[in-house]
Amino acid sequence: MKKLIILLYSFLSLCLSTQVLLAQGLEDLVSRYQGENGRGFMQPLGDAFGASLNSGLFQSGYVKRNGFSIKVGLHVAVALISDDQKTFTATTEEPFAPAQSAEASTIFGSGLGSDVSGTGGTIYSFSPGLDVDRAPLAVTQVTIGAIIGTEVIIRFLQADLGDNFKELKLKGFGVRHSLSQYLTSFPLELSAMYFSQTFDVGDIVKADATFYGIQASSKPGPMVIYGGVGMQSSTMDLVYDFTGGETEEISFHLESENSVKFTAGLALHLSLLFIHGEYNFSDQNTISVGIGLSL
Amino acid sequence: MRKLVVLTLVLALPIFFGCEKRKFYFNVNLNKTEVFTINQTGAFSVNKIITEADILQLLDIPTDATITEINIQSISLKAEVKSGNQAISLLVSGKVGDVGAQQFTMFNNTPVVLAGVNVPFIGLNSLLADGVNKLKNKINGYVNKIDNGAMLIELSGVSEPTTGQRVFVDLLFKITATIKYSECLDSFTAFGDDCE
Repeated sequence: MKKLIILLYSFLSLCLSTQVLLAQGLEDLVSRYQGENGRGFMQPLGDAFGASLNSGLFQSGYVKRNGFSIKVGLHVAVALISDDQKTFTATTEEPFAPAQSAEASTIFGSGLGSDVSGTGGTIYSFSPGLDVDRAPLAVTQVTIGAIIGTEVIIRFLQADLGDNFKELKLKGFGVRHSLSQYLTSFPLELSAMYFSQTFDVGDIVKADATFYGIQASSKPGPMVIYGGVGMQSSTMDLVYDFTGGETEEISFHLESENSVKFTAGLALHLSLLFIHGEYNFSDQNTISVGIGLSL
Repeated sequence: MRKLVVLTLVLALPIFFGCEKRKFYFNVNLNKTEVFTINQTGAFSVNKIITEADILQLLDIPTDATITEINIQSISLKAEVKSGNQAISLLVSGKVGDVGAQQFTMFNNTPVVLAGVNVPFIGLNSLLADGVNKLKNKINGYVNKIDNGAMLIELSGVSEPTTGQRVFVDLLFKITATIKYSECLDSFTAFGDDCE
């Protein structure tokens, strides 16, 4: 499972290596963890991944009232991993004796891992992490408008990862609606949006993320200061084979609770080109930057 | 000024796209189970030979990986009772060593209840360091290709509380070891350690 996570983040950060894609067999991805240890080990991944998916969704509070507009962009979100996301309390699993608990690395924690001693010189080694301080995610996004102050936002990414992982698919769809058309004297551009995404890798990873909220920005121009407040949530389901003698299928459901997200950002519009950067404040903080073309 | 800001932001984006070889650390479990069939009235002693190939075929460690540490995590036993068995419990001892050389005791007079079918493996919590270290050193030798000599596992014991009963069981002996290794993989620069 760890090598799958390395592969996914490398791919989604546009760092694609054919050698890695083809060389890693499912046999390499067997995790040593099951039950609560597995959940504790992987939960920060669910939190970071979901928060990153819910970033970079908007760069303004403005929505055109009527008329064709299109914006195509590449957005990179980076989840900032805090120290408390790098460890969890793990418990040794049978038949190791005596049973004991210890602080162990999460998927983002120290690459050195940790050990506890048993009887007669036996040692239980908790799985090491990936030594991650920042977890990036890149997505493409198309925004098309507008009718009655409403635009649609689409995200789509698909790749064949070979026989082992099969297909990677990211799909997202949402709508944003202008509130300023009703509040014509309000000094800021206001809109409301809802966006939902799914992310699948074969039968191994299934994730989804949802965001809804209010966006505000300065009036349209070359430089736009924007912000927003909303609610975000995400889930991730992981399924893999655990080999502790006999092979059994282990599945985890990781849920990131609904959390409030505040966004503060800056966008630059230079003719057709736009660039933006934002900071998202939530249970999982993220930074997002993007570049694209808009008509 | 505007052009400078834009240029800076555009040039900064490749930071997020940097890819290089980064070092990651992995733990992989070795689970080796040997079946000792005991059909004996009175004290018994059975042994099995485990070769380098027997161990290495259970592992799938990349050829460019660097082995950093090998530890024995647990030794466990499971008894599958066969028809005709009379004993209700055993006292079992286990030894390990090179074939034809000194044997080192891993556990001594460990009780094993013969409870029927579908029993789980019982972890042994009174292991002896000499035997555990010998087992660890043999596996270490195989994985690091510095020792290809076969090892002998010997299980011996008696029925209890009544001695001299017929013992007819399959005694499954399971070794769980952890092999730690590091490997350099293509990855985003913010992950992992520096590769030498």
